[in-house]
Amino acid sequence: MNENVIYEAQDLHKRYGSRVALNGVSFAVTTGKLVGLLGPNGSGKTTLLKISAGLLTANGGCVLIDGQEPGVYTKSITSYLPDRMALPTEMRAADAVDLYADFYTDFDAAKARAMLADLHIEARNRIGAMSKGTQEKMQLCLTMSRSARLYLLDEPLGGVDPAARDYILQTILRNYHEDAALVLSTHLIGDIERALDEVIFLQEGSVLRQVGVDALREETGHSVDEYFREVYKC
Amino acid sequence: MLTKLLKYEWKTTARVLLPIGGGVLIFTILTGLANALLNHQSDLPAMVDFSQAMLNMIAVLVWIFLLAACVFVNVRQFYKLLGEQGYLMLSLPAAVWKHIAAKLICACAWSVIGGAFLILCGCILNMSFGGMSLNAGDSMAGLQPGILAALCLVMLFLLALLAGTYLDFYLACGIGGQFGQQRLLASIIAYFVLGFIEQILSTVLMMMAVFAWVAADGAAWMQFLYSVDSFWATIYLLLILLAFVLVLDAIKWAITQWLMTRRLNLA
Repeated sequence: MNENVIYEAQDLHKRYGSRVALNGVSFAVTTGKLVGLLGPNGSGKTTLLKISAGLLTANGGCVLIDGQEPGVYTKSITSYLPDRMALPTEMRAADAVDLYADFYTDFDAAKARAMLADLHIEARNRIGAMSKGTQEKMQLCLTMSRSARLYLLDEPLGGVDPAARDYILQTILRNYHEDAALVLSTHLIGDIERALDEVIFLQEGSVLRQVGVDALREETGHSVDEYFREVYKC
Repeated sequence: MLTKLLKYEWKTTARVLLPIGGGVLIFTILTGLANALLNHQSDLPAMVDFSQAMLNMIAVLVWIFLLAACVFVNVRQFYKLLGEQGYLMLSLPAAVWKHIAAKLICACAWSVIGGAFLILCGCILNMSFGGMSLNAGDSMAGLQPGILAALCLVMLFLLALLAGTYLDFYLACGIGGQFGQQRLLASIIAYFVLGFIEQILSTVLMMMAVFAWVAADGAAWMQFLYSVDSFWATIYLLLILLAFVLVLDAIKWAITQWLMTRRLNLA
């Protein structure tokens, strides 16, 4: 096994009743890589990330993060951004920062406060009173203020305006370090493409292809966005 | 990590329950003052007596509301753990048993505080504080060590029953959480089905115990209880009941924990 592999899936299966969400997914991600998890709706991206974050149980196969199955240890080194608002809406921004600081030893509260100040989010602001886009940005700031070894971001660009997307992208790139790996799922490939090292294409719960972005461009002569549109054409 | 979870749980529930408790206290004090004033008046019109009775009845209803709110808030906290808030809380590097323990300890603590608070409210309503002492040692000093131990045992038994009640709710939420849709409805149905199963099992167990008692010459075993005085006989029976309730609690906890580790399925 490659010693630099921080995140891998081996023959992962997941069913919701009779519907197959993941059908033998296998891949490996090494440290220092920024990987895009791409696929159409229902291809299993969120399911894969939820299993990796320890929030869902697989029906078969396994996910390994730093060689271990999802559990207390993997949660301590993985920073996960769900595809929905998970922070309690009755909390204030300062409470959310305190909560992260309490539970994660790798959380940098000063960095989080600085990022929230950039977004003009006051410590006393209630999360429930923020707009959806601001809530998402705040959640991302908290996720990226950790010095984790693996970042799993589920649709970090969904639901925010194009200007905010630039800020989010900059936040991700600025806070992600070379010893870590970052896997993010998105539909907005054009916005993130220039930052990606690798892409994993999912189709109907299986890995269609895992390839380096530069290699893909050389091979096909297309951008990742164009390749995606061609492969998943309806 | 358990301490941190407890701190978070306490703050979240206190944010809802303390204002409710404050409101109940103010209402009870006002009703108590009205009682104190009106009880010393004679020849009051019937309408005033009726209003006073209504006020006292509302105060009791408000107490019931407080208890219901206490249970509801604590159960809702667990239900939310298996919903959207689970995305945050279950991503924390804490073992599942610590999440269950934090919620259970907090729920039991609020229920005990709620019970003590209602006793205080009762005293305020009657404006009768004569029997109360701020120094617990005053009332405990007169008790024999045996009686004190028995009281502790009774308290422990009641606490185990209380924990069992919350674990019933938690288990129902855990079962409801297995469904992809209509989780709340599934949890409610699971709660009643679990209650039904518990009753059936209790009946079957009791019948089996009676048969086993007869087969194993239980009367001879009972001689042991007859040989000790009634105080110790009560203590032994209470210990057996406590052990039974603790085993039931442990089973409910184990199934809930299994559902949350091996069958976790966040919406």
